[in-house]
Amino acid sequence: MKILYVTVGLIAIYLYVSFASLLWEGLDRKLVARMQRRMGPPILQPFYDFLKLVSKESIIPRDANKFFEIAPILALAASIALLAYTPLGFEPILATKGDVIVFIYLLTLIAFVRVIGAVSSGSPYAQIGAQREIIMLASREVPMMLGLFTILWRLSKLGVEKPFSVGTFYQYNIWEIGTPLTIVGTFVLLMVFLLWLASEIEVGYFNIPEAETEVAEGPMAEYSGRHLALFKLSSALKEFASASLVVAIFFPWGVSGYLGLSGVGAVILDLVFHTLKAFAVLFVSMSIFRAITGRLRITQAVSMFWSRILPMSLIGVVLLVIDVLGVIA
Amino acid sequence: MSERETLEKKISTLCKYLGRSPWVFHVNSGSCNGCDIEIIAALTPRYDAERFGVKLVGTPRHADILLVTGPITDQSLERVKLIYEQTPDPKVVVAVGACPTGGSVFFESPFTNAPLDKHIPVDVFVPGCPPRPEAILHGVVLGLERLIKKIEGEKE
Repeated sequence: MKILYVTVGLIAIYLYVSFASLLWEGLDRKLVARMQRRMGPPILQPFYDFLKLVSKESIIPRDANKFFEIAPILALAASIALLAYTPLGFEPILATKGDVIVFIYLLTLIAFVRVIGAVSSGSPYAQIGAQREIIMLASREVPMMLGLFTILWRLSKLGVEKPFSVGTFYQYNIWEIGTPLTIVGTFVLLMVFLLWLASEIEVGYFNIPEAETEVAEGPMAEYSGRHLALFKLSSALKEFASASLVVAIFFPWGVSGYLGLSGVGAVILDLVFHTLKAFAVLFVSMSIFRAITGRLRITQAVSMFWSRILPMSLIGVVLLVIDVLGVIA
Repeated sequence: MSERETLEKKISTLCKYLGRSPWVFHVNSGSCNGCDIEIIAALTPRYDAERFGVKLVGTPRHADILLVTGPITDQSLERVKLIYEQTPDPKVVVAVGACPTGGSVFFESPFTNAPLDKHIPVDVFVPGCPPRPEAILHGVVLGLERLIKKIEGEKE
């Protein structure tokens, strides 16, 4: 019975999140176009793009090996599995002790599968894109994981049922602790997470692997038709899941408690409210960031991660740690 | 109806949403850069081709429409054919400018291979040296209309 419930829930969440994340892509393109004083495409444009790509011919290059065809399916499978561990205004379906590690693992796996697909395509452009993607992957995870584990460690001190689970954020949130050092530290970590989100979805400064004018769309250079459509969908899902993590850490409040709802109604209301919050976070970290910044070189991006964002994350972490250890009263 | 035409029709029926999101790839076959700048002008905020879903892509694998400029020099002839083959079906080819249409100032030159339709099937020729951005957008619309006619012709 439990398995049935989980399966039906996951399919429902998958359908809802695919719709919401593709809708956000359309909203994003429209908003950026308005910032540049253009009309912009219709809001449903990503759906048209998706349907077009699904119905087009899919070319397999002669030099490609078997992974070229498997990679898009694996990427979509990893993103659907990711949704089972994504906080969406309520505890993730499969929330257990320490599931944050699975969350990060699946998030990284999507990028990794993209790289495998690109390397298997046999195109030099795709390989340059894949190298850039791996370099970015190695740099961006460190500040994010440092911040995430510190916040979860701080929350586990408050005595939660499942320590190091993404579901903890709905029991306690980091702002509730309320001491000045925690608030400053959390604010610093919020900045780190917004920058991490921008690099995770590769926009603005960090649009380096998919630089369409330099390396011909990078890892996606040889993909066409339905394979490309699957990759587009999986990266849209990944976008939404990453934004959901930021929302759950810093803005976990729901509205159903105030309205006195319970049961299915509360779940649906919280899901919709969570979607709006995720759109707001993506608006800051994706649309505005994309409209006002250009692309960095890969060396500049790496040095930015290791010499700016990592120290920033360290400062936030030290502030949180000092507060709990009571070194300065 | 030749065998190729039947095949083309069959392929085009697969795709009903192409008119909603035509992705454009720009092929420069030895152009003087005049037409290329006009293509860029058609994508700028003033004309904003993105409002029809048009997107300039960096690889022929993602493209639906090929915009070919230039008189197809000897060096670029093989590349143009290769790019045409690399583009997934259904696709529309638009020859932009006087050069791929009839050779322009390179008419009867031994080193150029205009017109373009001697080498690959072309749907629309947009003459002009260079053509205005409005003319290029009109050419793309005509190409898509031809594709839609192919789709509807199959239904009847």
